[in-house]
Amino acid sequence: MDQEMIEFQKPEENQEVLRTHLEELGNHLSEKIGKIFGRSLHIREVDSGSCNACEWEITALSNPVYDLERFGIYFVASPRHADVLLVTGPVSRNLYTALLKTYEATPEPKLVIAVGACACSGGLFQKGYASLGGVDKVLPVDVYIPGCPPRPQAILQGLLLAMDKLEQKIRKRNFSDLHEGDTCHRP
Amino acid sequence: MFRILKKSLSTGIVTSRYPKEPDQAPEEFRGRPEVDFEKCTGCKVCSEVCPSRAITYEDDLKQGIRNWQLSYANCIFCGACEEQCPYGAITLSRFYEMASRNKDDLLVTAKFQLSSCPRCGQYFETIREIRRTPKEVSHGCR
Amino acid sequence: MTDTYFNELTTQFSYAFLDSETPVPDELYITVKPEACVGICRYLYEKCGASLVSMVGSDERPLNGGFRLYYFFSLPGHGSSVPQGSRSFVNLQMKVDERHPEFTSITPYMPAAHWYEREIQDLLGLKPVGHPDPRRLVLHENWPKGFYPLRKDFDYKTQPPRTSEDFEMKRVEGEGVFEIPVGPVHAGIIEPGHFRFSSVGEKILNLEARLFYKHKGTEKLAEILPFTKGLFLAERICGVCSFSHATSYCQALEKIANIQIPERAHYLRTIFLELERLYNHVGDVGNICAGTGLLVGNAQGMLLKEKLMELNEAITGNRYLRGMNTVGGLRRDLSEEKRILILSTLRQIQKEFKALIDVIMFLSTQRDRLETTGILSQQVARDLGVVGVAARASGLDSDLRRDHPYAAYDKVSFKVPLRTEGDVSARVWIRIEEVFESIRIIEQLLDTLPSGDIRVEVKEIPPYKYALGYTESPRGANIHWIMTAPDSRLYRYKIRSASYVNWPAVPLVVPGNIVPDFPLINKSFNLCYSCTDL
Ligand code: SF4
Repeated sequence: MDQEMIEFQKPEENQEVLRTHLEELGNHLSEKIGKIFGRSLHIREVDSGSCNACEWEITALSNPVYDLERFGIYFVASPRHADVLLVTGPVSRNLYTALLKTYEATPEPKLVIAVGACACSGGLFQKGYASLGGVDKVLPVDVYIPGCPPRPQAILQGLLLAMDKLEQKIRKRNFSDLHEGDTCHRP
Repeated sequence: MFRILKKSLSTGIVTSRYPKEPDQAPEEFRGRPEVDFEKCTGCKVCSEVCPSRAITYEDDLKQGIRNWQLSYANCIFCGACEEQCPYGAITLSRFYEMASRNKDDLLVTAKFQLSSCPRCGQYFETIREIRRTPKEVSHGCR
Repeated sequence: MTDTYFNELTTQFSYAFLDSETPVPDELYITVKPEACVGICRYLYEKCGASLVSMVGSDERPLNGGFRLYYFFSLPGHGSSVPQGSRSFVNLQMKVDERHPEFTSITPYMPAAHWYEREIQDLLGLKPVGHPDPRRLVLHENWPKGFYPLRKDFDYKTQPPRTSEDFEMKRVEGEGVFEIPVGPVHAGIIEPGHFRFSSVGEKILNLEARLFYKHKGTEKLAEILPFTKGLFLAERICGVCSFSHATSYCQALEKIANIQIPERAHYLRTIFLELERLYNHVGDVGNICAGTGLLVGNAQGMLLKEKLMELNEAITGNRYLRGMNTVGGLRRDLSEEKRILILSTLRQIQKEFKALIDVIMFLSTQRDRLETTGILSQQVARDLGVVGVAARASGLDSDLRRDHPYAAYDKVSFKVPLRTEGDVSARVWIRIEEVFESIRIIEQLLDTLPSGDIRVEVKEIPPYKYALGYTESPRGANIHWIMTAPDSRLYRYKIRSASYVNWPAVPLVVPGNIVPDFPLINKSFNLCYSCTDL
């Protein structure tokens, strides 16, 4: 490096490593879901003020081409049945309460995935009078999926990544629960 | 009924093999912006045209350093930077699998050495940029 | 064309006219005295058959010491008897004094104005006197009194404290009447809105819709961005009408900057606009099957839509056709291979779509659910100024592509399908027919695609000029009005989307149907929340 440029850093993202990891995940996915959740992973999608494109990409996941259900991943009608919240949009002022209530209604352990630039950071919709500028301003976000909108494949990749994290969460929780003399088991 | 069956059967299997097999985005696709730091001079044109504040910079005038940063989390993949970069240092690649557990993993950062104004001694522009463009080596401090 | 109307108006209302100008062709701006405004609006609406296409409130106190209201009428209303290209917009404007922030409501005479006026009340704090339903609309009850976001002295970044979360809804009471609240977070993957059904048994007596959950201040945000960045905002008003909104934005600014974009850009824009219509309509027809429980139809529709989305991605790099438009033309050209790719894909889609229609649309179960469900009468449609597919299914012959041709629509021949039943089935059939028309339009354009540049550079736009930009999106007419400010910024950006005018029709159509038909009716309108709420 010359002295005019001091340093630069790119996220260590070795495409190869990521790719093999993904492939592996894909292969073991149903197995994994089976192990962690008994049967399947349930997702609740929450729109917190998106432009609609992110919604359509999520809808596209259940079309015959991407067919999410082959992995045992389902979209459910109520947050009370959900393991994962898929949140889009920058959180508009009018939806703030609704989003919080949905989060509270979701049973633990839960994950929040921010889909799209809006949800990750506000995207084009900066913090303003009617937009809070990103889901992580309101809820703890576990996985970020950039894109405007992300391709369906990218959302799928995010879901797979989330699965790993959920596994960790459950392990941790079981551990701490045991500490308190509580036994928490999921089927 | 028969027609429905026929239609379903004739469609065959359409499901993609993703994620077991990679799915290449088309050539035109606007994916993750890649920065070529060999070419980049830190001239900040990109941060001025970026509509979503994905590219930002901060001048540390004490140390004489420009902190430049690109966040994929903010990026809306519009390609304005690619179009406007005077040195062709940013290109939107076909890579799209960017999901991450951590926002910091979505950052590209760089530090550029600033040059000081020969007249007033204030830091004002990166050395690289000044070398690249034969413009006046002082800022409007007169 | 505006002349005849103008002469008529001047003789009738000469006492009320203050000024008139035609800053861009086909748009006549008349400044009128506030007290005569209602009369002139009524005259235009009732006598000339004009329809209200938009209404804008703007805070022009820094410029001329008052607020200003603009009423946009399209002349001479609906009907194809008027020769092509001869229609135009008449825009009345009047000043509202800062000390008396109120104006006379025109809603009692023109129901189409009722949301515009409530919106102006919320965002600018001008009171529509005589409005039959002056409740909050855009800003919900959590917004404190006395803050008006579109006023110039309100900073975009201000976040006033939250007040009460309660809201009032109209109730139907009586024995056996149930209330079913739905939303804002819905069961399916759709956008947020709150619906309250009052029903007796299965039958819906009343439906109250509460929208604007997604209001995120788009119009105000546009005022602080330079026009080059505003373009990306226009693309993100709505996901599935992205290209239409962006085109409206660009057309308005191109008119203001008075530049002619290359012929090839016009052609390509038209092609992309039609591709947008295609994937929307094909997807909608599939979606209707989800509403009737015909899963084969749904899956096949989604499959075809996916193919079109992949085509979009292959030719433009984005599945929603984003990043193509720019003020002054297009950002990327269409190569010869892509031209051939479009043609071959469309031929295949046409074949498969036709086969799909043959399978799903003639099933008796399907017809039973679709026919006579959710009837929108022509009168209601006209009163509310309904546009697009919904209007054409109710016998209102309106289509901006033919009535006010833009881009390259005057170079192609196409039919505008029309039905009069106004039910779900009619709306689906209009979409089906439009799919085939769109394919025809694209083929014609690709066959005659001129060569040459695709873009002229626009560096600056002149301040304090205004113009309309309009497109017929898959959902209907999108009308954007832009007034520019110095430094190539926007002073006021009013976005009137097709969904905005069609939404009020939905709660009127639903009563009398059974609860399970609501999703079907909703899908047949297929309105977008995002471009309504902004
Ligand atoms: S990230 Fe982009 S596509 Fe998704 S909601 Fe936001 S603007 Fe729309």
